[in-house]
Amino acid sequence: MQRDLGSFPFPPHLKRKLSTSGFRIVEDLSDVKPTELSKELSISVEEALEIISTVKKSEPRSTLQRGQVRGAVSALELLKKETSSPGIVTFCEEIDDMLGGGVPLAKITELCGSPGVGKTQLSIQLAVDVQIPEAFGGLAGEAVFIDTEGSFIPERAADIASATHQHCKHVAELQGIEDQISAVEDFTPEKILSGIHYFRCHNYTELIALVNLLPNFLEDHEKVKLVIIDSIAFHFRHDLDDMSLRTRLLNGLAQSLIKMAVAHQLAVVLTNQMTTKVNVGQSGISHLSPALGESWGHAATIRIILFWKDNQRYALLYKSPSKKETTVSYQITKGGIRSVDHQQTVMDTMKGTADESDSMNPRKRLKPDDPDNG
Amino acid sequence: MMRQKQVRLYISFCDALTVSDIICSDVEELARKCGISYKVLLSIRKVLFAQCAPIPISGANLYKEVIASVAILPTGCQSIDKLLDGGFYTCELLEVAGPTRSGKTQFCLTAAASFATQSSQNVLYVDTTGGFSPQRLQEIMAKKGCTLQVIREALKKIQCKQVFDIFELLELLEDIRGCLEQGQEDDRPSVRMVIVDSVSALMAPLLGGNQVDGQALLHHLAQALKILSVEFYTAVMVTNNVVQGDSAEDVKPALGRSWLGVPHSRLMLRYKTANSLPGGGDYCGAVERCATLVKSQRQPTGRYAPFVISGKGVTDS
Repeated sequence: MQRDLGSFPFPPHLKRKLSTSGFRIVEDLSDVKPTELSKELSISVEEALEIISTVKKSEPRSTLQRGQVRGAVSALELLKKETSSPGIVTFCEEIDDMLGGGVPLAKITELCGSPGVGKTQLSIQLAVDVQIPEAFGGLAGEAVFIDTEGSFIPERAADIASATHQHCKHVAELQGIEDQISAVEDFTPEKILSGIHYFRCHNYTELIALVNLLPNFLEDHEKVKLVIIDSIAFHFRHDLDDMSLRTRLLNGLAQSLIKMAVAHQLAVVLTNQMTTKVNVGQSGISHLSPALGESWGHAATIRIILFWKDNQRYALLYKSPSKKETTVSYQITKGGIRSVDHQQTVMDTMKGTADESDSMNPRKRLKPDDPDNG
Repeated sequence: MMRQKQVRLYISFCDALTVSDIICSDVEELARKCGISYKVLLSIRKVLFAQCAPIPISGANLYKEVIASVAILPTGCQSIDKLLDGGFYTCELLEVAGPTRSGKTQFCLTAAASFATQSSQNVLYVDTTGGFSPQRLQEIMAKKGCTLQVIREALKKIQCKQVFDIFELLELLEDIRGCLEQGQEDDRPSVRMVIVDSVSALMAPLLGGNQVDGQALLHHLAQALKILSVEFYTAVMVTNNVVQGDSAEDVKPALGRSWLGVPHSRLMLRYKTANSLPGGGDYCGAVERCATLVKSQRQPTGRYAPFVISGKGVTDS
């Protein structure tokens, strides 16, 4: 083992002591006892013990199969796993198809868009849809909703939850499958709402602290299959002046989130604002681009841009490792996100006729009641 | 390497602790400090020199070894192969840098797919961003006309490991080295291509601000990657972000100045058409992209090759 001791996760002061005492590579420590090491480096025995056990742990096991790297999984196995685990549906068929069966698990998906285009609506829809019972092909999971802007509207969540409940009930009655009928009885709007764990973060310190504690929360709540941060940009855009610190913090957050997503097989959905970017070069024409800059662009595996065009909402798959760039239209109704063309099939299951303009921007409509604006 | 330890233990009664202490410090001063005679110390030094100095290899032998061991692997895109003088060299560290959605991950997936379908050896794909997509690999192979059986076999040969912090990556690289050492003994290296997508995602949380450890870790990473490529004749490819350069139009690879010289070759990817977003222009259809060779040991730099991303992965436009 010629691995350099500097490449181990030891505290810097121990690294310095190791190197000045001549311990450079793993082999140098191979038959050193903890007491000897602690004496030689003048550190505590506990520290010495920790160093030695960390190094021992990393030694390759002799039982390694040839050509097999520890912990690596073949693409074939991953493919089987990926095709067998469904994503979280959005209730807009076009968006689901665009993403290849809904928002995928174990990945970070970012929704970017101007205010009012439906980022929060889509997030709430996902938080409800992740709970659809297994009998309907859902995940029967729970959702964590981290709200940084104060834009989560419980009334909207209740609307969407009851519409989803109605829809499932309708499907169950039509098909008459016993599993589904019994499942839908348990799938009440109240149950759906209690399956959304809501966190409110008032500044970026709270957000970072929460994300670091989230793995503990997920240990206790194994059913959580979706973590939403609405929006990731809000605090970082306004409260931080030091750009290099911001980049470092954000990149650290992204790493924690993807680690969490893979470890717990859950989907992470982030929303992001849009910012105006002026082309310095030519005529000074500006265009909209997602906020938080170029380096943040790499953070999300999948990036969807929501935008308005000719009084119609569109979703553009801007970046994805597996699907090609596509633009589809969608609409927001009282019952949540729906596709434009197949509106009727879903709509007839709902009670009231949804009024697009009424539910278009609940944030504005409800502003006076919003405690954060008061 | 055992030598270093023994010397450290034997003469630890004086100030000189390690081999390098004895080799580097002034002999007269050392003699005074340790109370060993000047002459003895000189002969100790002589023995150490003899043990530490590398043995010369003739250029002809080196050339023969290179010819015997280096392979040129296809990238899956002919124009980029041409740019790289045939494809990936198995003794080189190649960096692919570019802004978001410039096609870095697609380039990696295409390369992995085309290598796995044409070779009996394994590819190790280190995924640090969650961008590895077996479905896409399958699509690329299928669109290139591979049969189901070939695709199945090829997917088995692509090993993926997801890694989310730098220490995990360093440990993994050490593991691979162990594997390759094992493989070398029976004359058939098991992994021939290592892809790390992306290096900057792991390093970015550690660089910038007043972090002291980041640069040291970056150095360890560079060393580990180079050992794999140069000593074990493995093709190693890493991807990197870009940051704003001196002028507004100019971009340069991320991770700072000390990283710039680490890869043997560097490809910069960018899109040719203006970066248009909702509200102006249309963004459907294949965007033409472009790969520029900015660093190379064998080819003139500054040349570029256009490419598009289609069902077949990264292909000629």
